[in-house]
Amino acid sequence: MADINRQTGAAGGESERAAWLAEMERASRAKQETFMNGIAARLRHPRMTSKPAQPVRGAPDFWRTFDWTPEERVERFEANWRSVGGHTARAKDLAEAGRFIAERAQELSARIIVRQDQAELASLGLESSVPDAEVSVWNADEDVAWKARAAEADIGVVIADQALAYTGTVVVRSAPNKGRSVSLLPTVLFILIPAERLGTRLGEALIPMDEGGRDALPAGVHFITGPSRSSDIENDLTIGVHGPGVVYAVIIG
Amino acid sequence: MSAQKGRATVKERAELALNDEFLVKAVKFTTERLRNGKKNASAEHGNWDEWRERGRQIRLHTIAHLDYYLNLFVENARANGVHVHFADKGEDAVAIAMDIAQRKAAKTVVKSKSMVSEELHLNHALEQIGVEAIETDLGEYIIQLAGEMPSHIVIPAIHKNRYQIADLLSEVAGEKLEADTTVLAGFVRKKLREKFLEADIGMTGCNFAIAETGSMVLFENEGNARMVTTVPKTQITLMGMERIIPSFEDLEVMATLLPRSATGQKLTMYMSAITGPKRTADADGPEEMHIIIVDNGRSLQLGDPEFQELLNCIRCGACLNACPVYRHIGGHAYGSTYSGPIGAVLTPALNKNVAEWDDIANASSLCGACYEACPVKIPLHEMLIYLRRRKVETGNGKAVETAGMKGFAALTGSSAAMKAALAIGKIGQRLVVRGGEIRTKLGPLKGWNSYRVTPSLPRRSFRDRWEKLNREVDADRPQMAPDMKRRMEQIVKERGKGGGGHGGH
Amino acid sequence: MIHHYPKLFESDPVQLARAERLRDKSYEFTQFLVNVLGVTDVGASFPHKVTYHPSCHGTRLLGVKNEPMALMSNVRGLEFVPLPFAEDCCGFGGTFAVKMADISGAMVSEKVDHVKETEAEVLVGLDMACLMNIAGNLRYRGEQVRVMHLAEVLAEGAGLA
Repeated sequence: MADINRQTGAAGGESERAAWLAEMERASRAKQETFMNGIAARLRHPRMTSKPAQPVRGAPDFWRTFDWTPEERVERFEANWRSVGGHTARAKDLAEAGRFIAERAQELSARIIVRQDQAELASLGLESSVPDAEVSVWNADEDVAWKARAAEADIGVVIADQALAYTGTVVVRSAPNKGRSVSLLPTVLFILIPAERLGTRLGEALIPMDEGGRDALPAGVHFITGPSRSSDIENDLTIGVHGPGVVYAVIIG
Repeated sequence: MSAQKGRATVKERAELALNDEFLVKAVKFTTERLRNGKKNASAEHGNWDEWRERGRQIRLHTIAHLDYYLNLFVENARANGVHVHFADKGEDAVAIAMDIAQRKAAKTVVKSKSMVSEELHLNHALEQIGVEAIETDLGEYIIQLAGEMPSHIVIPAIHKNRYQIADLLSEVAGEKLEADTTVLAGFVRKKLREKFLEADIGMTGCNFAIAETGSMVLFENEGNARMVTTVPKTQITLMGMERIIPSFEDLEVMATLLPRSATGQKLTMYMSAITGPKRTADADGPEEMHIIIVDNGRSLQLGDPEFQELLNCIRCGACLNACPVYRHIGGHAYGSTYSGPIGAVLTPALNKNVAEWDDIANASSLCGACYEACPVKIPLHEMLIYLRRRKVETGNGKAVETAGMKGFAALTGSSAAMKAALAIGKIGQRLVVRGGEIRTKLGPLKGWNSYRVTPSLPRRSFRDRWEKLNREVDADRPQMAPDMKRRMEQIVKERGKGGGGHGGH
Repeated sequence: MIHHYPKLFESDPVQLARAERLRDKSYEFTQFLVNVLGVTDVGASFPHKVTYHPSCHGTRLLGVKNEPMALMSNVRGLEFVPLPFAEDCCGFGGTFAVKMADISGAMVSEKVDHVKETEAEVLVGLDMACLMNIAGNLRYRGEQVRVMHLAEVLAEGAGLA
């Protein structure tokens, strides 16, 4: 795709790039001081270097204790998901979920399926149950152009790290074995949600992100609330503008 | 900015807009849809005012300690492997972005929606060095093809109908596309897919930046912001210096307020928290990530008691949808990047050129619907009054208006003068009154009487009746009952707390 | 008067004290009747179809919300029809109506369209400026809808006017 000069990996290019980045960093650090001092001067206080007491943080108190029962969560999640144009399904275990996905894949005549590299997803057995399709496992082979592979895939299969019923939202965190592209580039997306990962409020996913701190965060944490959509043309709702247009949430358990 | 504004005044641009029947209908329909969506979503969620107050408090606190929180964000972002840059002015930000683009020998930049980028007119600058900058939000893509500015902060192509859009896209396709939303959106999906995969740089805005972790958060519905932050090797994020909130815990409040206020959604289809470039072993995400922190007039608001709260804005567009003026004239009549009530205040505030932009401050009936709609309670209608006052204070008022106001003060300041004027008026009006109404469109009544009639002065005014009324009241004045007095005192006390709404500012 | 006078005179302690005294004994008409006097029924009878425009400054600045309805619901024979998009500004806005005459004109025309939709005989309000504006457009268009302050309705209905 890129010509030789633009390959950041080239040896000469790499040292030049490092020098350029170092120079930018030096300039940035110098500028940072005047920038922050300027803000402090405008605010008419000395530069604040220690954490101020934060009088109000996060959601109101009454919200923090708000919770639904497991059955309510499933019901509300499914209702929310469908209200934005998503599809829902319920499976008692991974095997049943695997059969469900295989059936849909056959119906859609899927040629390429991409799934995250996780044991639960391996146990779906898609490789054998959808023999007509090529099933790729994310990042399993470093010679594959994985983003391009996901872009040509008909179906992506991921497993939710968490889900939240109140807004009908699924949380997926990136990792070497869990590509951001898998939940984004294929035409159809299946998201498996183990029932015990289904909570109620957004805060249940957000607050742990503070608690774990910067080091524990992956590069991308994505909150997905349904299929890609737009109303930019005459307010007419269109599904599947850039991301997947057909999105199944399969609750397991 | 002045190039955008052209020579026309807001009044002339509004006149053009009001005569564009499609535009008026489209804007009304869209704002109505979004306004109702917000009403329903906020009512369904419940305790809306408590959430708004929460949002306001978080934003107030962060801005009041911005040097601390912004610095914390910068340190954390750097530790995450992000290259952070600072830009005092728009030109500085443009220069940094161009430097990165040139370093990467970039041919194509794919962009997701960023109001800051609109503010900087960055696309134009990139094109001048031969870099193709492509807007990938469907509405933004359409107006980019048309060579226009967004007319609504959330629905940028609100002013275009699907036939116009089909014509624009047909030109790109090199064949005639049917004016059908699904067909058109399908074409854009396919076309931009190619662009995402071949682009050298992805460029985004930033809805919120989390100080404690150095993460940046994007809200969107289409998935294009995810594309831009997942596929290209280099990511550049343009971020207004005030986008900060302390924590993800605080993000729960913003995520509750923003989508509901913007479109009535419980949450946008995608909310992404990006913390640095891809990890070494990851197979997607940018290898190199830059964040450019932009001032461009924002710091002028810091420490200004009348305007600091402007920095609390979360760019939801609810004030546009609530504004009766915006609904009639649309966004382009405001003549700048930001339109509607927030634009009317933000544009002169960012540019510090009250004199040049004051006609926008006049394009408001000060009805307060913007304040009522604002999820972080920015008193925009009061800021419009402050702008008008500053304009007069700097000697940029209109001479005729100043003279008129002086005359009004002289009349109303003296009982005798008022009485004399009314007497003259009663005689003078005989020339123009027909059936108790004045319909002439001559002189100062032209604007008013083009849409209305003016009532005549009554034969007997309240002043004429006052003496008799006063005598009657004096003759029979009862003592106030103690419980009534208590109620009065209670009401006055409530007012002190800003009771009725937002007089406390 | 209630929100802005003290601010206008904040640099003049003598005038400020006067402004505050004036403020503390000033009430919006329906708030005074309902919240101070404790009256919601003045014994009026007004057998007409009525709609109501809540003015922006009344509702948003002074917090007048339920008081007018409390009074109107106790008027015998009054048939109340809600005004669509009632909370939208009528377009008056002081000098705005003259400086931005076309925008203001579009706003008042829309307001009057909504008034007509209700098929009410009488439009009631609490703010003389809004009422002058709306009445002006109604008369301009030759519409016969009466425009009255709520005080006029109560006075006429109680036989005082």
